[in-house]
Parts: sequence; structure tokens; C-alpha cells
Amino acid sequence: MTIWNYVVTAHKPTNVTHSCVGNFTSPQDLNLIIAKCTRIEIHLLSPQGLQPMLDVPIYGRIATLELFRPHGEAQDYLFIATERYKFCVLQWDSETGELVTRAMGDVSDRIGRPTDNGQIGIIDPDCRLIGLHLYDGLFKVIPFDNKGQLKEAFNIRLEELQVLDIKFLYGCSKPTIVVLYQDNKDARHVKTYEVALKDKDFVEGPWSQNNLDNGADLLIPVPPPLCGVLIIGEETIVYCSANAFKAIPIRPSITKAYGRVDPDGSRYLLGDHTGLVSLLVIIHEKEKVTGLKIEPLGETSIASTISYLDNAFVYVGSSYGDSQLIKLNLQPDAKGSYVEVLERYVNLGPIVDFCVVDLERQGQGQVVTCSGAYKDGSLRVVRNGIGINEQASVELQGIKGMWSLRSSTDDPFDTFLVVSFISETRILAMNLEDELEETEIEGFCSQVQTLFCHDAVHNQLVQVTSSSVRLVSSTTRDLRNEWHAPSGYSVNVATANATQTISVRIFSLPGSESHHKGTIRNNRREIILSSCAFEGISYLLCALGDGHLLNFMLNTSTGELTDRKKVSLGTQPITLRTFSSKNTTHVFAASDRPTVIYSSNKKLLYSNVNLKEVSHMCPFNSAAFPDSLAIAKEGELTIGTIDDIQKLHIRSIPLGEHARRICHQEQSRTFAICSLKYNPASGEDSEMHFVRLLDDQTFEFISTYSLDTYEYGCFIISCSFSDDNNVYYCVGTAYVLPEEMEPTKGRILVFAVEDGKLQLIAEKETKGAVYCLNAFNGKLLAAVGQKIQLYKWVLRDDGTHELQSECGHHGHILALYVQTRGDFIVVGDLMKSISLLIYKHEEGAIEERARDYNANWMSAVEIVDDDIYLGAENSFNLFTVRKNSEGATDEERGRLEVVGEYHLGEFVNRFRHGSLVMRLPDSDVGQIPTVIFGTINGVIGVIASLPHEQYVFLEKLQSNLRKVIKGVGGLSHEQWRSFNNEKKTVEARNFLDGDLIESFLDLNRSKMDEISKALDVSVEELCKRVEELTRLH
Amino acid sequence: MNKRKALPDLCNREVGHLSPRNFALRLGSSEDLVLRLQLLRNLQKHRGCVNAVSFNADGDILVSGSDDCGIILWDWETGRIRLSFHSGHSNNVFQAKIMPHSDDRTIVTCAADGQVRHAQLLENGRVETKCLAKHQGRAHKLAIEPGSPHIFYTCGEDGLVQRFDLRTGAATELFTCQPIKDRWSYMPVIHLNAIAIDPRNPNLFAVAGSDEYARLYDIRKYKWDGSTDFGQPTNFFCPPHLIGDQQVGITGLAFSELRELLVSYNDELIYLFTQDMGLGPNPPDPVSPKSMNSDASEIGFSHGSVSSQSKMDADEKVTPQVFKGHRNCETVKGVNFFGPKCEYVVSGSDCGRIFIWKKKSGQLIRVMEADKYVVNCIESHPHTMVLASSGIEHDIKIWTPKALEKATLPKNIEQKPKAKGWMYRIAYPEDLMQLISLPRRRVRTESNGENSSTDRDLLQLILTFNANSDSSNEDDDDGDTTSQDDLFS
Repeated sequence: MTIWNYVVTAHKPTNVTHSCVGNFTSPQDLNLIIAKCTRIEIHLLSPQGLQPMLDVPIYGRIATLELFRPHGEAQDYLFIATERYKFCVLQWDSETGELVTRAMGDVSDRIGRPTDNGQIGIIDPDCRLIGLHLYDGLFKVIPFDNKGQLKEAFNIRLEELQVLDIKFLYGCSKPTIVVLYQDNKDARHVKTYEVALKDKDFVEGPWSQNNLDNGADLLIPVPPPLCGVLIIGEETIVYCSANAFKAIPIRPSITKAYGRVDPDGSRYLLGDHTGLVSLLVIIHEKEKVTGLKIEPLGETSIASTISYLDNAFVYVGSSYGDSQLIKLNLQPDAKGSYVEVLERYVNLGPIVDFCVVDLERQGQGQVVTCSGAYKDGSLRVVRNGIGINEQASVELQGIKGMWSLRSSTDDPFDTFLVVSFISETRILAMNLEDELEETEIEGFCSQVQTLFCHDAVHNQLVQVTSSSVRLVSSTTRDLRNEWHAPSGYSVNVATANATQTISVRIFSLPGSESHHKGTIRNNRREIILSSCAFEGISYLLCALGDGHLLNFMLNTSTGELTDRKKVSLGTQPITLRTFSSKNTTHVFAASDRPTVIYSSNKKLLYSNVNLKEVSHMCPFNSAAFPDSLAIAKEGELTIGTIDDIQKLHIRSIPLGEHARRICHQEQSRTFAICSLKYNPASGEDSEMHFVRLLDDQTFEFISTYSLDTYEYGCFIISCSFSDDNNVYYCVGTAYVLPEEMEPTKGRILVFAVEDGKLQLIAEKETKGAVYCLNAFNGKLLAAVGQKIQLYKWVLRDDGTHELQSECGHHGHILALYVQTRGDFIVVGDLMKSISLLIYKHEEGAIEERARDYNANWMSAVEIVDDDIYLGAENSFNLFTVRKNSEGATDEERGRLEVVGEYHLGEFVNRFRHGSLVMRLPDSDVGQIPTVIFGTINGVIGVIASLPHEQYVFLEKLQSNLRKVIKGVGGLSHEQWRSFNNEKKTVEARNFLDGDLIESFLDLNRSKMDEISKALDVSVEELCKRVEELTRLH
Repeated sequence: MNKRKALPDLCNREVGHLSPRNFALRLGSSEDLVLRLQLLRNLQKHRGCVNAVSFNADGDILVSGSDDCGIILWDWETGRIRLSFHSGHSNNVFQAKIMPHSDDRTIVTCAADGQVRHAQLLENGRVETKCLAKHQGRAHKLAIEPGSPHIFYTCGEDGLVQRFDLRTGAATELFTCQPIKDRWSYMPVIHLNAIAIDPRNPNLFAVAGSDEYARLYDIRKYKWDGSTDFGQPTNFFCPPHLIGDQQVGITGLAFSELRELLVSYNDELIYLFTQDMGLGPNPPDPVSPKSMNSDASEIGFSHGSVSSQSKMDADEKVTPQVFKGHRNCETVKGVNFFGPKCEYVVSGSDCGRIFIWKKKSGQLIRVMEADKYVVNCIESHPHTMVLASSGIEHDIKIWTPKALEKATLPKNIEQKPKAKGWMYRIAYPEDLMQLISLPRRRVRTESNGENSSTDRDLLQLILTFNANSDSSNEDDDDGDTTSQDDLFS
């Protein structure tokens, strides 16, 4: 039993919540800044597209992201406000390439009701003040002084209590806001207020407008010369100002995002909830508005934010699908769309369900997620490591080395593949039929092992053997020249480049010399690969015979080596080979754990390749197989292309509909999903719900069962029953009738997969929604409304089976999430936290054993072990509770004790036991049990249960890291991780932030030394321990 | 506004379309949950009627005050008593509240003895209580400035409104509530039963009592130099048809999150006012006073009455929402909002039941049996759908939405008060005490000196009986045959 948990992010949030454009990194730079809830990314718009400049975590959920330019400044500043009422103002330091905090503060109020429709943060266009609407009835003002510094904040009472949007107006001599609000009778209006800074109060503004479209919920302020405001409703768009009122009807839609196209404010892009992007034009003569016009442009992902960049390039940020960089063309395409998608940026969010499967039977889990929503729904296959897509393979034993060669210096493609064995060398080549066949290069010595090969200038090739270096014509294949090693000597290691001069280094065994003395000791074998440049930074990589890799920063002018780091890439000797993928330098480390080394965000990353025991590798860019690699593994030579290089590889399967639940069935090699398809063209009741069967390799739909009208698929599992050898899919449904608030009817459907089709074997009607199903003691456990119901699978006289109710338990508000272990049942309730039930076999009864008396609104539950249960709740927190079997009183035994609390900052939809990485028996972390979670923002995270000793050590490390690493904008990590909901805020306990701990590896050496001294543990030991943790995900 | 539905809302929360906060607000106010309210448990320890129940800010502690002058802090979820102590009052405790942001260690109380007292829970588990001030008459209600650990207000039957600051222990007498001018001659002060503070603008508070008006005051107008101008309200609230009706009074007030004012009348109905329904700082003159036994009053809201009396008002303002079905004659009852955004209105009734209406439509959706006699107090949990109720019985009832089936309305909603024979009560000294107290809690002042004299004699008799009971059978709180025999002999 362990109550100590390590929480780490395997995949960062990808849901784009905010974006803005401005001159942030320099007056001449055009920057796109993106917020993904808890992270910000800064990009530079260049002729090559969006160039990432910075990607940093924020210790808070971002509620507001705005660029603004104080008086007299040449560059924009960035204002960030978080949902827990912290704010900061950031500036870019051009010299260091870092963010500088210009201001920070806390704008929380002790009393006040948090606003329902989301926090609002706005900045006066003339930079006189920042306005915040955080609590009902209050508008907070942070004034600027003449030098652009922030002064003390104050509150102004706002009469409107149900605010939908507030924006500052342009062109007003005094700061003026426009408020869109709803009255007690649900009618919507706008009014304006001037902010009187001296009196700290509002003054009635220049105009107001009553009785707008009842779906109005977005204001767009219009810059000079037109000024005024646009009010976006579901059926109407209104332009309103002191001297004009114009309205146009629109196709019913919900506009979620907008981007201004022109500095003069005459054109806007609007994105609606179906992914349609339209151009809204304010028609004007001189400076007088005469009308509005809207033109549909085409389809994008459903936009959460739209940023117009430059020259018709637009960034579309999305919460429900991938974000996109699009180009708006002047002419429509064949489908009538003016939208051209140039780039897609992966968004896993929202992850509403996932399963963990080993699809390729490699001993490593892959996460298959239900991602996206509405039309942008998809499945994503997420796996750790880089996949190889095999194109061709040949059985070959005993490969000692491989090199690719071109047939002439000017040929862009490789032709020859030189394969070296212990006593011979063979050459494979692509023939005219694009097949790999054995061939000869007469000038090569083929009776010995080749140590090195390379292309040389002037149509020449180089072969190095232990006794000679041979120069060969690549066109005639004849030997041009040869150098012999003196007798008694042999060549051990060699390298070369393409220039006339060939550097060959000869080492004698007793005393090898290196380019520069580094701290390399006691290693029997060395392989040196020097001057490897990643992202403009030179590194020296040293592969050791025991499976370790050293890397140094290399100063190419002085030869100085700094920032020594050591990582373990396996237990066998490593061979290193550079290759290029997507115009970026990578290094392939071949060993018993093949790894690709690359740089991202100016730091070296290591990503394992989904292969076992790769002994050698070389790039092989042939005309038939462009950008391929040749890989030698046990008994086989494979040529294949490599997936995108990243820590987690993501394969997207667009569905065009929204998958809500997924389950894998190993026996039938299928997935089954509950999905729904939206048909916005028709009116109400436009959803159709399905159970679909998919092939688990191709993800094709192979069978579909349509649910009834109003019937929702709520849950799906694969299970078998006592006394029945078959495996079934069981689906829980609910009938959502228009007149009912809570479903009173649902079904349990039992399917078999026969001949690739879903066959309905049995169905059972239920008196409520079937929110969850579990296989339980050879039976089926269902959460039906407020009850837990146990069904057994009974053979009828006619030979068919049916589900028969055995027993149940009620007392829940709504039983939404259920997990089982042995005879214990853990229930996550809608609003009453976690309860523990036990099934009594002899009595055929389910009884409550204990429960957590906190009123937590649950979103996911999992059983960590026999006594510890994990929950995620509505305010983005994680907590653990413990069964207290040894309590002295019934009350003590009946109470689940809260033993861990932590603010994750993410809304968790699902926990599953499993691992994203191979569990290696020789690894220390291989024995640590892990739970994977998926969130609305597309985060995939891992929670690991640590032994106490390790927890205590890491807690000290975390504490010291907090002192060394400061949050962006002065935000506090300790405050960020404190458990927080509307009732209480308490310090995090028994949870560690793995993201912070693993950032130790990114520190420079002096900061590492600082922490090493504080903990009295060597840097090498610290790195080793933290490296091991990174192998959890 | 789309309908509240559990399953679509769950789907929308999962994808981020509905924020988790709004999800909790929507589902937490579901009518299904109201219809599933069921008795979770009885909290039994008090030896007298429970007149005060309230939750702390976190919602895990319920504090109760009783005719037995005791204060109990309950862990209401498990029914366990955390702490109980004597309030220091010498008569029925009418209200007890835990000050927010005080680590649940500061409790303020008011009672029938007129005292306003402060109880401080010390580190060593002991409780220290002291008297802060006294009303000349019963002190019915106190109101805490939202979020403040120091500031609260009280009102009493002496018509006085006081403001307290626990940092100094100072009590400031703000004003004595006076009737409208043409009634000064025969009603020198308004006997105040209720006080409430606007949660969205804590500068504003409302008081109400022995006439038909709820009065709104602005504390910013108080001149701390002792000037007497403050007593003038900034606004009056009254249903048009009750203006000038000198037979009605107000027993309960509550503010909603949207700053609506809920007013419960004795012998009448409950009305909901929005801010724009105020009559201004000078209420209009009554068109014609209503007779004591007006048909309109008897049968409730009457369109004819409105049209005849307030045609002019109807043209300008919307009339308040009305809530009816309950009875409010016997006792000073509170009235409250319920639900995370005050979606419902709750009141007790003389028939021993709890009534729950929808705020927007006034539709009665729930009637629950909650006391053998009268339900006086109903308190909503600050964060979740839980109700605490108390009345003449000595316990507190906790209601949570745990029923499997949804309740339906009973057929006989407007039930008469339960019959109470005098002799039936003779066996229960505490109930006899309550019987004596009941008439005194009526809003109207008893002007019959002879009745008052009779009450005093009976009170003396009961006190004597009580003393005898203590000496002969000290641990037995309930009457028995011996006690009855003693009484009769």
C-alpha cells in the first residue's frame, strides 16, 4: 500500500484556448502567442511559416491573454490572468531570449461570487487601465500611470449581475466599456459606462441598446475611424455606436471566435460551432457605417480563437480539433471554399475516453483516445517512441556495419547500401525496377570487414578497412588509389566527410588521444562522433561500451567541453549515426534499446524507437524509398521510413463524428466505440447515436448498430461471463427524452462479434441511464442512475442467455464512475465523492463499507491498490482516499480517509491502469505501478505510486527546485499545486509534480550543483534518479 | 437557456463545452434533486424547540440554538456532535451563526432575552461567552456582513437595529425603526422580526416587522457623528394590494444572489421583489385600507384587488411573484432561497410541513412533512443541495436528495393547522413553556392587559411545576404519570 504519488505529463496540453498577434519579441517581429490553458507558446511569423521561439508552462489556468503596448514603448507587453486570480505582465528580453516579469499581483477578493460565464480580462486600447470582471457585480480596475506602470487596483460596483461580455470601446476620450448582459427575465441588452478614475466609479456611457438577439453573447469592439461595437448573436449581427445601428440576419449559428482582418476594423473573420469561417464586412462611406455584409469562406476546425496574421495567413486555434494555419485565397477551389489548410497542429483534446492496448504486441501500451468533438471527432493512437514503417526487408545474419552511397556526387539519392560482415562486405543496390539486389563495386575489397564508407567529391567513394583506405570511382567503380596501413598497425575507428581532405584517425591501443581531454575514465571502448549540431548548437556525443551516452556542449572555436550529461540508453555497446529528417539533424543510437537523439526547444531529447536490439543503422534516401533508414536487427535488414520524431507518436484517424466511449477486444481484434453524429442542417433531434465496430489495425468501420431515437450510448466494455467461453461487447445506454431531466430508461446491449459483424445477443431494459459497466466476478455490474445493479448471465431453456438482476445498492445521487477489484466496488458519485461497496457472495447483496464525506463533484475514479482509491473532481484537483479497516469505531471504519490532495489544473475524464512505456525487468522504475489519465485539454498524464523512501527524497528535490526555478510571471508553484475548490484551499500533500522534478535535467550545471549541495547528493546521482523517472512515460 | 438535463450536461462537461463550475450549478439546482429530497437523519440532543439552524461557510458544520439556551455544533453528515455549550442566554435562542473566516471559532447568538452574545471557542476546547449588547425586547435575527469575520447586525422587537464589530466589541445603535408618519400616534416603533444584507452590495440591508413594509437602508448614509438622519430608508417594498393593510406584518426576509428580496408575511403569502419594484424612499399613501377579514386576504392574491387599488402602479411596475399554499400564523418563520443560484423558495408552515416553490414561476413543487406541529426554520447548505429544518419538536432534520423515486405533491396542500388540545400538552413542561411563548411571537402586539396578567399567572404556575419536577426526577426530561399526578394534586 502506498499513498505517495508522482504526477507527470506525458503529453502536454494541445487545446488552444487563447491566441493573439503583435510585436512581442521585437518591434519588427510579428509574433503569434498561443495559450493552451496552462502553457504559452511564442511563435515568429517568417517566410517559412510559424517558427517556434518559446514554449513554457504557466502555474495557473490561463483565463486572459492579451498583448498591449504601453505609451512610448516600441514593443508589445503580454498580460496574463489566471483563473485563480493571479496576473502578470511579461516582456521579452531580446538579449537573453527570455521572458521578464514587469508586474504581477493577486486580484482576488475575499467576498464575492465568481462569475458564471467565465472571467473577463480586457485592456483599454489607449492603455489607461486594465479591466477585470471576476465576480458578479464587480468590475476591477488596474490603472496605468503615465510611465506605463500599474497602480493599485480597485473595484467598481457593476449593476448588471449576469454579464455575458465586456469590451473597451475605441476612440473615447475617457476609458469606456460596453457591457452585454442578461436581465432577470432573460432578455439581453448592452449599455456603456465611462470609468471615472478619480472617483473610482462608473459614469453613464454614451449609449445603450435594449432587447438584442436572445443568443447574443459576443462583443467585438471596432477601432477608429468607425468605432462602435459589433454584437454577435445566434440569428443576428448588430453594429451599434452612438450614431448608427445596423443589423443583418444570419444563418442560425453560434459564433465562438473572431479575428480582425484590417487595422481600420472594417473586416472580421468569424468562426462558428460547425467550423464554418465567414468574413463579416462593415460597409461604410468615408467614416459612416451604412450596413453589414457576411460571406462564408469555407470550413476549418471548430475555432476557439482566430488570429489574422499577415498577407491572408490566419491561425485557427481549436479546442475540438487540430489547430490550423490557413491561407485565404482570392479564388474559390472546386468545392467553393476560399480556405486552404497549410499546416495542422495536433490537438488531442478533449480526451473523453481512452483505452490502453498493445496493438503491435511489443510489450508496450498504446493509448487509443476518443479525441475531438462534433465534426472534428477522431481517434488517436498515442505511443511512446518512434515507429518504423517497413518498406522492404531481407534476411541477413551477422551485420557489423552499414553505409549508404550515391552513384555520383550530384545524385540526390542513394544507390548503394554497403553491408559489412565479420569477414566480408556485400553491396546492395536499387535496380531499374526499384528492387534491392546484390551487386558489386569492383574497386571495393569485399573479402574483409568494412570499417567505414563515405561519398567523396569528384564522383568518388571511400572504403576503410582495418588494413587500408581505398578511393574508388563511383561511376566506373574502379580503384583509384589505396593507402596501406604500416605493418603491425591496424585501423580501429575511422570517419570522413565529403571534402577532398579525408580525416582518418589512427589509434593505438595503449594510449588513445582525443581532440580534448574530457572526464572519460575506465571505459573499455569508445566511439566518438564529434561536432554534431542541433538547432545551431554543437554537441559532442560519446557512446560508451556499457550502454551509456555522454553529451557535452562543444565550443567549436576553443574546443571547450561543458555541461557534461550522462544518460543510459541500454546495456550493450552503442553505435551512433547521424541522419536528417524533415531538414533537421538527428542521431540514431543503435543498441538493445534503440533511441533517436534530437533537439527541441534547445534541449536534447531522447525518444526510443519501437524496435528491439538494433545493431546498426544508416540513412538510405533512395528514389524508391525517400527519406528511409536501413536498420539491421537480429537476423534481418529492414528498409523503412521513420515516423515524425517526437517523444510520443500520434496517429490520427478522423471519424467525422464524435466518439464518446471506446473499448478494445483482443479476441476479435476489434475496437468498439459509442459515437454520435451531428447533423446541423436539420433542426432539433439532429444527433444520431451508434455503436460501431472497427478493425484494430486499419480502424475501418466494419459494422454499425444504430441506437434508437433519443438513445445515447453511455458506456462500453468487453467482457465474458461465468460458464460461457464467448467474449462480448456490453453497451450501456440511456433514453434522453425531451420532457425528462434525468433519464428513466436505458438498455444494456450484449453484442458478439461474428464474421466481423456486431450481433445483438441480448438486451436488458433498465430504469435509468446506464452510466458505467464493469465485468465483475463473472457477472455484469452496472451503474444505473442512482443505483449499482449486479446482473448475472443466465442460460434459458431455449439455449439463449439473458441478463438477470441479482442484487443492487442505492443511496447515490448519480453513480457515474465505477471501478472494481475483487469483491470491492468503488463508486464516484455526481456530487458525493467516493464510496466503497462490498459484494457479499453468500448473501447475494451489495453493501456500503465506507465513504468519503467531502461533497466532491467527481469526474473520474480509479483503484490504486486494495486500500487506496484515486479521484479527480470538478475543480481540477486530484485526491486519494484510504480504506480504514483497522479503525476502532464503526464510524472510523465507515469513513474513507483523505490521504492525498493536489491541484492538477486539468479536468480528468478517465483514469486507466497501464503504461506508455515498455516495462523492462532490469529497470528500477519497471516495478512501479502506473495509472494513465486523459483530460479535456488533451493532456495525457501518468500517476505513479512511489515507495515512501523515494517519495521523501523526491519531495526534498521538489522543494529545492522551487527555490531555483521561478514560475513565469512570478507565479508560485506551491500555490499552484494547492488543492482548491469553492470550499477550501489546502496545501498539496502526498503528490509530487513530476513536471517540475524532471525539469531538473534542463538546468545548467551551476544550478544543478546548487541543488546537489543542498541535498548532499551528487549531480550524477540526481540525474540518474530523475532520468529513471522519465522512463515512466 | 437550454433545459437542464443530466446526461447532455455530462457530455458537454466532458468536452469542455460546459464549464465544470456551470455544470455543478446546473445539475446542483436540478428539480429532480428537489423531488428526491428525503430525510437523511434527525439530530437529537436539544431539550427544547430548535429556533436557530445555520451552516458554517464550508458547509460541514451545522450550528443550532434552542429554547434550552444551548448551542450545539454538529457534524451533520455523520450526526456526530462536535461541541455543545450553554449560550449564556436566559431565554430561547432565536439565532446562532458562525462568523466566516474565523476558523469556525467565533459564534454570535441572539435570543428572547434580548441579548446579543459572542461565543469564542478557545484552543483548549473551552468556550468563552459574553454579552455584547441588549435589545429591549426579543432579538429575533442577526445578519452577518458577507465574508466578514467581524461585522454583523441585529434587530429586535424594540425596533432597534444595531451594528457590531467584534474587533472592538463595540455595538452601534444605528436607528430605531419608525412607522410611516400617519401611524406614529398609535404605533411608536416597528417591532422588527427580520434583517437581511444584500449579498452583492453589502452596504444595503433590509429590515421588516410589524407593518406591511420591508425597508431598505444604506449603511453609507449613516453619519458616525451621531446624527439622527440615518433612520430614513432608501426604499420601501410592499405588494400593492397590501399597502395600508395594518393587519399584516412580516416574519422573514431573504436576499437572492441576483439581489431580489423575498418577503414572508404573517397571515398572508410570500412575495418576491426585484429592485425595480421598490416604492422609493416615500411610500405612496394607501388608496383605501383593507378590512380585517378581507376576502382578498383570505383567498390570497386577487386580481380584482390589484386592479381596483393599484391600477396606476400596475401600469408602471410589474407585480411581485407570489408563493402560496403554506400557512404562516402561529410563529415568526423565516423564509429562504434554495439552490446554487437561488432557483427555489422554501418556507415552513403551521401545518408542520416544508414548502418548496420554483422562484421564477411560483409553482409549488414540493411539500414535505417535517414536524408534528410547526416548521419555523429552514436553512440551505451553502454549496450543495441539503436542507436543515427545525420547528416545535426538539430535533433538527437534515434533508438530502437520496430518495429513489421522485415525490409528488400531496392532495390536501392547504391543510389546517393540527389540532392541539390544552390538556394534551400538560405532560410536557417545555411544550407548555412554548405554548406560553407562542402568542408572544405573534407580530401584532397584544394590547389586552388582562390577557397579559393571565399569562403571567400561568407562567408562574409552570415555573413552580418545573422546579418540582427538577427536584423529584431531575434526569427525566419527559413527563410521566408521577409528574402528572403531582401537577393535579
